[in-house]
Amino acid sequence: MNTTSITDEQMVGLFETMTLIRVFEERVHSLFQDGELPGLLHLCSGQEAVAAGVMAHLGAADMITSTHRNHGHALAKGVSPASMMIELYGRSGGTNDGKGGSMHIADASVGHLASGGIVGAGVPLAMGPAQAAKLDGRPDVAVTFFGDGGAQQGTVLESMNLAAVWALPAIFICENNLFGQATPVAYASAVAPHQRAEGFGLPSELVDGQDAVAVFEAAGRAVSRARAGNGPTFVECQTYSYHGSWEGESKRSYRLPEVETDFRTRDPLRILDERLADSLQGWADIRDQIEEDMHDVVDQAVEAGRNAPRPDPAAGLVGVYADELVDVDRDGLSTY
Amino acid sequence: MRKISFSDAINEALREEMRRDPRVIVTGEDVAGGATIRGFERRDAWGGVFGVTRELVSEFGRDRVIDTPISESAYLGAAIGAATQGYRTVTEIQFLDFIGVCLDQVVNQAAKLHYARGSKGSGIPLVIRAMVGAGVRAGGTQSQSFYSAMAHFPGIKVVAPANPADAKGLMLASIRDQDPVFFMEHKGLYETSGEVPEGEHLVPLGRASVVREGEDVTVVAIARMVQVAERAADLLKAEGIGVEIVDPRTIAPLDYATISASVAKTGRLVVVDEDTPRCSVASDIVGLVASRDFDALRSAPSMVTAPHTPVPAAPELEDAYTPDADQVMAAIRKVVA
Repeated sequence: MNTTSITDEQMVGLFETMTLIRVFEERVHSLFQDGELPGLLHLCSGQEAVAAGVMAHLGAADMITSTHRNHGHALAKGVSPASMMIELYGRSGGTNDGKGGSMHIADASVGHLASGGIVGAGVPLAMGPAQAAKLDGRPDVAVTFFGDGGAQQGTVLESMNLAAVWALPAIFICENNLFGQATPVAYASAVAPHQRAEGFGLPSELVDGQDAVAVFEAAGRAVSRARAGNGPTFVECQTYSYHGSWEGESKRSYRLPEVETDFRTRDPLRILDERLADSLQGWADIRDQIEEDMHDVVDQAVEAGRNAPRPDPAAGLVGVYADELVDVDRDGLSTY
Repeated sequence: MRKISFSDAINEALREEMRRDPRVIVTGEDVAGGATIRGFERRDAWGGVFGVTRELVSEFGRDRVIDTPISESAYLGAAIGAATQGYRTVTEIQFLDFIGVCLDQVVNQAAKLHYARGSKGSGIPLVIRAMVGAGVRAGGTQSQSFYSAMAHFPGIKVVAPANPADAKGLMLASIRDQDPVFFMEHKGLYETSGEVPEGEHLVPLGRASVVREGEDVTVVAIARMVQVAERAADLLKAEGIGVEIVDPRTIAPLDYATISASVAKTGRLVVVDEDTPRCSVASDIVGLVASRDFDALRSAPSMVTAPHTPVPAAPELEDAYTPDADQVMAAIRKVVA
């Protein structure tokens, strides 16, 4: 089915990004199982096509906000894998200097504004860069990611309305992976999340989140609309998280085997691999090289994590406030 | 020096900062007020429910004085996000009581984003204007003064001016600060007037003010309670009691050094706060003095606060709720006895 406008080169780019995410997440999974990584980790294996397909349209001046399940968004947005791995190891010199950990990965220098552990909380934050771009007259956009769980939060609904009434260049990407933790979306939401968008005056689309090309095209339409000054868009991507909600959960107790099998059959990397095999001469060799390269990148990231210094415990006391006019001591008192 | 009202002082600070810095914007419910109606683009209808932002939209336009839907989480989040893009938003949530509907954006986003970015953080410059205080017979959900709850969170600054000059000076400093600042405006102070310097008048955050000097007792009072403490001090002059009044001005970070120096001089402490007593700024200050300056104390410190109840609406009930000069005098007499 080659009715799309995407080029082979763009598809190869998507495959590369998705492979990086998959290799990174699977390595994090095994490192955590081995007891090498601390923390509360939420992996996105199975959801790679969404991050890759959306981010392919964005530059460093386009800001995103992400969720607790943010590794894929960060890698696709251009955050350094080594820097992220250092953060996951809890060492010094990574994305957040040990003050954020897995759930708070961000790097504003590449346009990744914030992630966090509060479901739905990143969505209002993205309205700021969208408002700033509009006030400045820049063509930049802001993209906010949230899950089917987050879609039930008032913060998301308030932001959809605000983006609509302010006509902001904001794009709402709902990653519907069927579960908010262990609660199925069909239980938590009376309608599919994208169906609410119309009521807010937002154009919306429902796409197969396992198909990177479908995501790429829907995101392209949304980004073009925003850059042209035509306001926000809502895109719901149907996808699946292979590792469940968080590392270490007993996910088998709430997941239906047939659904799991269905999504694994429709693996996003496999779907894109098949498209490229049909479309691009010599794809198998290119694919093998990409996979080798991405394994090298992740190997190096793990080495960087292992070798990074442990933070000085006193470093945690620094940086609560940015302003240097008022000094604040350990007990929160002013020490001018 | 000319005298202007507390409300005008805040308005003047906003106007001067907006003229000085084109990246300062004002958002909130009805901060323009009606300027979103077609044909009213530069007309000023309300300028905030108490008129503090009046006539800003007519000077700066709707791109900089921006009305919002009643969606505090969304527009507070937008202000935080805009802070990362070089904008300094002064956003109004009207009554502090409303913070419950958007508290996450304050305590988990505004307060923590800078810290979580590690060495790459560049601050979250943002001012959240919020009205506090009883006295308007509004009942329990538009009258509270729980600024201690905001001061609890590392990463947040909280100021509570007690007079027009400090209102202007602290607003200028709050807008220029790199961190999220809660700017608490006591409703009962809006119409009070006082001398306010024209032009640049900065009152640095984190610095208390010794409102009057005295030898016998230190009274720490916050926001409108400074007036109440001054009245009590005036009345106690006849009894030969010298009252030193300290106005913290900034609640977080608290200028403990000034309080400590005053207690070292007087040996006695009364804290007057319109908030409820438990886990309050008053109990915090008493705890600090007890743990750090116990040896300076000549008597047990005392707190004069509202009771541990919601704010009632009926005039007799609300007046009984709010600390007054008689209660402050009684507390002072007790600690100096």
